Amino acid sequence: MTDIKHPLTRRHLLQQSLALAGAAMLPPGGWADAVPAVRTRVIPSSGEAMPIVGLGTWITFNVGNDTTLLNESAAVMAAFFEAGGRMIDSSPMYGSSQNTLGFGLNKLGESTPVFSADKVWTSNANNGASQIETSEQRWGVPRFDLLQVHNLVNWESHLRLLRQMKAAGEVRYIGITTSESRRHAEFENVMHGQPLDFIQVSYNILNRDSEDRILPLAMDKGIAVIANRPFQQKQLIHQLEGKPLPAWAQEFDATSWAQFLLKYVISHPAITCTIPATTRVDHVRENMACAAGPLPDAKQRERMAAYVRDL
Amino acid sequence: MDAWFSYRLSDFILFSERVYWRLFDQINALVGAFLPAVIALGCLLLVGVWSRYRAVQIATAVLLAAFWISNACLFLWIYYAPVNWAARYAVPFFLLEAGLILLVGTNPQLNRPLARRDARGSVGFAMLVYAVIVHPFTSLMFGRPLGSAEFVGLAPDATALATLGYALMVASNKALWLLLPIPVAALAFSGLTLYTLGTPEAWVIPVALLVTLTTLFSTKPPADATTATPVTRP
Repeated sequence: MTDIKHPLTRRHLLQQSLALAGAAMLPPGGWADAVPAVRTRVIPSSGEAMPIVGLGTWITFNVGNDTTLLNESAAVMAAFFEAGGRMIDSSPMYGSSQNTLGFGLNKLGESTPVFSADKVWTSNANNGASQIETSEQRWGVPRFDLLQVHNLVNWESHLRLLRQMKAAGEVRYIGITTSESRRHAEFENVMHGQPLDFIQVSYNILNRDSEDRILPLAMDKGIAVIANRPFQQKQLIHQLEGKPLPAWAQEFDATSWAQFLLKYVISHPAITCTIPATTRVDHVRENMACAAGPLPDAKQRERMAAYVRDL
Repeated sequence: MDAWFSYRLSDFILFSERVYWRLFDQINALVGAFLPAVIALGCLLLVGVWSRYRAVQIATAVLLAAFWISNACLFLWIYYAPVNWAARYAVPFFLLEAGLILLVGTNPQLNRPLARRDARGSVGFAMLVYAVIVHPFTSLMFGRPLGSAEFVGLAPDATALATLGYALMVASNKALWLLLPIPVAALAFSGLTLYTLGTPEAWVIPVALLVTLTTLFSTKPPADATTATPVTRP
């Protein structure tokens, strides 16, 4: 017999403290009022506008149970949303990244403008549905905005499942991904033969393999494109560190190598969104600033690629 | 199957160097005030391997086996598996190694004679000293805080290095092949991980493995306990 209607449990306390902490991170008036104007590209299959810079989680959000790093990841997400970002991409392959996203979204509150993009990655066709359900639970979302077949693993079965889910309203968009240029021929075949909303490929200033066929085909067929590894997993940044940024980079407001590299990727007309991954709030702000400034034109793009290639 | 062959090693290392070292930060913080006791237990290995007393020899084996169990439960299962799903598959092997250490440590037929001051014994003891006393300070040498130090009993590399030393000192020629495969494999995987992460101390593990294997194959095999004159053990 007790008067307490809501027993005070450790879980309850944790949820309340997370909600309070999240409220402290929420801009006054909520995310919608705080979002600055950023460049968007349209998702061809729906006409929905998508901020051109998103957030990847490969490696960076795989932090396990480390509460310090979980909170740092949540701060990165908060800075991303504050700067007008929406698309966050993850995969069941990325260790604890999905749990980290769930922690961050829970901390930041329900009103985040997140566009949730995840993947199905299992060689067993029968495990696809349960894997997606687990992923949704980890994120803490009722349904994903976008589901992709990761690296074409068992793509025939999984795409069939994703099409059924889309028809049933259980996911808004579907797509396929690859991070390997040598699989582009198979990738192209799937793009030709299957109805897709999105594709995801690796694309950066030194990895331009998708420029010849994949990106033009995506434009031709009206498929949105997510560009991953815009910094080639930090390698490009390390490679260019200490080297002079050309003075003409000011023509399109690139003030750092990161912005230079990112502006190269997002200035390709086929790219709908790129998803740089980072663990740092200042880097996410720097990345998002690219989405607000001017972009190089085709001639400048060629000059950029040649400059980096010759360094 | 083709899809699996298309992956590179770096595709499976889905965490950063910082996350990896913070695993040890967390474990050391969890142990907290008991950390000096864990270090002291590690130091007991240095004494136990020289003992002529059967009870001490068994206690030394039990201690080392307990360290492998602690690594399996604490490091692999609780901390490492959330960032590296493959870690769970290593748990049975860590537990098996604990069992093998107990088997060798408690069975005189699988022990070397107690004259352990030969080349193999000396290298083995040096390896033990390195694992227990020197290896934790490699964190400082490479600019990491002492909080992320790897201690025998809490960190698999330090424990595996100590086991190489223990095996060289204690195990008979036949028993070496029982005790060495798992720590050698664990260190090889760990070395590849550190190399892929780009951590500067990745070279420590291949050097330790090279020293162990060179010692193993270049020293004259001493007579096993099974063939030598039995030593009277109290």
